[in-house]
Amino acid sequence: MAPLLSVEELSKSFAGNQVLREVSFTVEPGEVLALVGENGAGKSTVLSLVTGLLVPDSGRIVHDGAPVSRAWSPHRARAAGIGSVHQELSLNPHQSVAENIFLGAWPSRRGLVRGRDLAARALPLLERVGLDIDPRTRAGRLPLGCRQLVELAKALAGEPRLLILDEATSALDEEQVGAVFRAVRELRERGGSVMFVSHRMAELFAISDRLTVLKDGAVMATREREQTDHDDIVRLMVGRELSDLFPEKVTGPTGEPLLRARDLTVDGACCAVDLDLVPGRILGLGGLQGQGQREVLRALFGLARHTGHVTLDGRPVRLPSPRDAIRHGIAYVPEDRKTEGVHTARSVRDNLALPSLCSLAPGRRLGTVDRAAETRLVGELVERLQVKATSPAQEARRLSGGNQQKVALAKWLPTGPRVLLLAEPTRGIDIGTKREIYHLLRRLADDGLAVLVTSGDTMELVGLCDEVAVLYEGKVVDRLTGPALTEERLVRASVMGTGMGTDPDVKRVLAPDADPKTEPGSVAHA
Amino acid sequence: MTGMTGTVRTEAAAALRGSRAAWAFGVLGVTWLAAILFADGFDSVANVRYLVQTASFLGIVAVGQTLVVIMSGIDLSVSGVVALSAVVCAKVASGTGGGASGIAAALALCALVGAVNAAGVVWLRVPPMVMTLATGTVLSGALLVYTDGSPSSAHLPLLDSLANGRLLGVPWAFVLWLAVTAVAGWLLHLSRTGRYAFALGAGEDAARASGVPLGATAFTAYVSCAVLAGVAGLVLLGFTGTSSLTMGNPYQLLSIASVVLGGTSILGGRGHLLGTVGGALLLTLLTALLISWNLSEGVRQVVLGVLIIGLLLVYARERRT
Amino acid sequence: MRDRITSAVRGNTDLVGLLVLLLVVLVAYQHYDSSLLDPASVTILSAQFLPLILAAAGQTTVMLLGGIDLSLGAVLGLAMAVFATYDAHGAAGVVTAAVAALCAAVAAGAANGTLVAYAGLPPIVVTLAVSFLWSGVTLIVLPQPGGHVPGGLVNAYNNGWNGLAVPALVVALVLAAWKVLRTTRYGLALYAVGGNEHGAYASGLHTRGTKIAGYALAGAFTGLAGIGLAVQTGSADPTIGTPYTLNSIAACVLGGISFFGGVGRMRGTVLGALAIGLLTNLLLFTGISPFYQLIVQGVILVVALALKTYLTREAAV
Repeated sequence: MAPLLSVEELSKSFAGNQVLREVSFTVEPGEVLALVGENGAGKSTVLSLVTGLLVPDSGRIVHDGAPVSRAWSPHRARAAGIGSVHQELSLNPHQSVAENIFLGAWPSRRGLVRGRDLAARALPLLERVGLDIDPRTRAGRLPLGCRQLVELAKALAGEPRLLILDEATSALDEEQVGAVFRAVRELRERGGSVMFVSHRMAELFAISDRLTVLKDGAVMATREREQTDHDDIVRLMVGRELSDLFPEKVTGPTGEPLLRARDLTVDGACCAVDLDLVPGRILGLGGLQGQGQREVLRALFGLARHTGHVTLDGRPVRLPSPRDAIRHGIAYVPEDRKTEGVHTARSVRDNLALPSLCSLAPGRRLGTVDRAAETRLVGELVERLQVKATSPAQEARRLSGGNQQKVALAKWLPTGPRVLLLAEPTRGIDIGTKREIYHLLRRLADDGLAVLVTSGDTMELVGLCDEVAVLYEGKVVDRLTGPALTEERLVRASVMGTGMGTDPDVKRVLAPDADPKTEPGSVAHA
Repeated sequence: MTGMTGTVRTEAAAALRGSRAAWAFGVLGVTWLAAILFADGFDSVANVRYLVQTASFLGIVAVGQTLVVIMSGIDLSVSGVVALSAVVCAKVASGTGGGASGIAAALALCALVGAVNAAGVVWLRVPPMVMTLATGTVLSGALLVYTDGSPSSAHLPLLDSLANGRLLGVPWAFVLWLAVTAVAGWLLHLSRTGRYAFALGAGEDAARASGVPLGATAFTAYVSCAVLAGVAGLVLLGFTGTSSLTMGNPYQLLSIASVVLGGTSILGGRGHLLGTVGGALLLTLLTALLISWNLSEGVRQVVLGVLIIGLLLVYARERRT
Repeated sequence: MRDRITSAVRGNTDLVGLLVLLLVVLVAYQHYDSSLLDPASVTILSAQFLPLILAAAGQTTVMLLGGIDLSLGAVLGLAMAVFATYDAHGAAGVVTAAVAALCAAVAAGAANGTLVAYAGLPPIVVTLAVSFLWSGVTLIVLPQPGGHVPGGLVNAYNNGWNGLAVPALVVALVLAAWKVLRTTRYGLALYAVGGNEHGAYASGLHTRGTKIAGYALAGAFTGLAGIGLAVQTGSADPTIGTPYTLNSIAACVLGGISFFGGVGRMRGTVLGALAIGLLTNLLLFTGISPFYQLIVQGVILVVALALKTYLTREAAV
């Protein structure tokens, strides 16, 4: 039987950075193919080429026995029966769920689209993805997980023969993932095919027939599910031994906390979070995606309006804006690297110098930037963090994700921060740079910085952090440290939302003045 | 070998595309050459002198506009501010005040207008375009009330010599423009404030998360822009001897056109002040050229519009992300 | 019941605010001019407000797509000039003139849309640059104020035709047409592109075509506004269109159209335009110098937008 889709020697580069090298694979009718690979391995790029969002530099895509036309576009892909759910949500928050589901292909009678008709047609699709919502709700009002399912319903509305799911389960709970699997199996039974990308290994093994592993933009291998296992796939993904990926952790007694947060609350995101950041230690914030980790960091950096008490060196501080946080020696490397972490359109030099301008352009020079000092500073930072740029004048958007992240981190170092906040510090970064960043963070901690890291990657938290606080629906449900800090316990606490703690004593040490009255939610649970 | 030259050529082309300010001067040079070759009277020193003198009025406004556009704002109230400064100066000077206090009052008021613009954008979070359009409207209303709709004239020796006098054969207005450009160039490209302005224009979120003082930067840019528009208004008052409510109108669109033709991105964060100088000279030259061909007002505007669009298509497209 | 009202109010804060403003203005208006609700005054007022309402409708279309049209005044002037210089006599002549004027405006709009969709130039720059072009064309068509509109038409428009307020009918028709358009595929596409352009593209929508059609539609509204203005004044003036750029944006802002596209209703814009028009008249009645009009307009614009930003930010947190 001819394959439904065959990808032949696709290559693609962005700004001289080759992200795909002659990638080839096929999707047979009636199968689920999983694309596996680390962040930045090129999975999303392949999918964007198949759905017509990007144009390949070389190679071709054969769909249904014929090569796709040169003017391949999302419009044509959809018309050819390729439905997709992308990582970036494509819903229009201002239109109704039903209008979104049929976007671009609204069923009309005599040219008019009837709202009631639309809603009636949307209902069975919503049912298929296990959603019980009014199709006339505005899409922007739904929680993230529901929106992701609406995306799936939208892809199913086109009656696709090939369904592409790019991290389509990232914001879903177990029950919702089950609904997605049901929809996938249903499609497979009807002879349709699915390409599935997920960072959750268990899901891949639960649903796929074959797994194609990508690494650094090239296909490493394609395996039948029955003939492979978890370890095999990970070895292919990573491509080498990972013994020294994580630096040694420190042992010994903890010092006095530098920054204490008590009852830190951000409306609608996190509630009564207590944290102690200790110099020399790396604290992790774990949990499923979107449990308030991001807002805790943003609150501590003055980017999110919050209530609660924060003390630094025992003195209470107010953090209404990033400038105040920076003045107190707090630095923040945000999750959204391209909009908040670095100025992608500015040069490496400008990015690195930006937070240090007060010292580079002091008042006695009338605020004129000391170019020589700036060059020195930038040179030192590039050298120290091994930033790979053709020159400091190179625009940051031309750097790879890992080097952008290094810039986002490096720019704070000359300001002499005492607290370092990092959100998803290694997302979308290759394994080599990951290792560099882990070791750098440990060195910084050894130099006396207090580090707070959030991550959706449990292995990273377990490997890197001295202690991990697990958030669930905005509350700290568990604190793991020492031998209790294992992937298994971290995942259990993240999913169940209840902690067993490391042990009662440690728990008391970690959150010395935790007051049960400030956590009404947990009281209600009990 | 051909491959080599090919790469060199594409790299050169990329560099040229990258430096959009250079494009403005390139086009200016070509246009000027064409004007000298194909039109009468463009080869005389007197003509050059006249051109740079008239370009100065637009140029000074455009320099201020650049400061605002770089930090991804826009100032549509410059037309009102130009009129404001001329009218107030003329009124005060012809009344009891005298020249110096007239100038001082005019510039102070302009600075105030700039501060109001910045306050609206920063604190009320009104989009810059609406905020400055609104202040512009309020200004023209206020001027109507203040003058009862009639133009007033004043003769200030200082302004007169500033607009019409010469320094070693170079018009004072042009010298003033260059001085203004030098100061603004220092502010934008050499000082801390300038770095902050570029950072703000390149991305407000990243700027905030890097500790850029958003408010102070916006205030500096809008106040500088308004004061420069005020200076242009004063020079214009000296040039024409009268002030009218509509005298600033051409500068609203033309100043923005100069900035964009000078290669500065209207979305902010990219550009060079010198490009604006080229843009203002280019626009003035084009206008003079079109006038010299005795084209009617309508045809002139059509040609100017088409030329601006064409030039923008050649070198001022935004990158698709 | 109360719940439904409160939720309706919460969903439409700016519309409610606008209605309150309108009510206050109307009560004040009634105080100065008690014949406000007579058929005759409805005719007169609608004749006076029609150009602004239609221009604002054009601006709304562009703003819903996430753009802005700074050439609106120039295009309005162009349509007006074309209509009045045709020197129409009789019904057929008027129709020809109107069609010619509309064609000019639609072509101008489509050109704007094409430049925005294909050239990678931001809407503000494109419309700014073409405003030179269109006002130039207007000056070529009509160098000085002048032109001619048949007297019967002017009379019927301004004083009613067989007791019918023609301009009010036109506005009602436009609103009805918009309501129908909103339920067509195109209308949904317009809102979809404005609300999330990348998402719409990734979902297979022809975003460029949608944009071009949207700008062309805006041109049609603007052209109608120009024709209306010519009929109202009985002649044309090449520079009279200029203030409509600002005023149309003001009406949209008051009517709750978002600057970022995809949010807003046409009825809000119409109410916003009405509020601006009534307020202007009210200022005339109160005997304050007409010079103050501009000041009040600017202040109201800023206050309205600042209030809205403040309210939506409160709601978002």
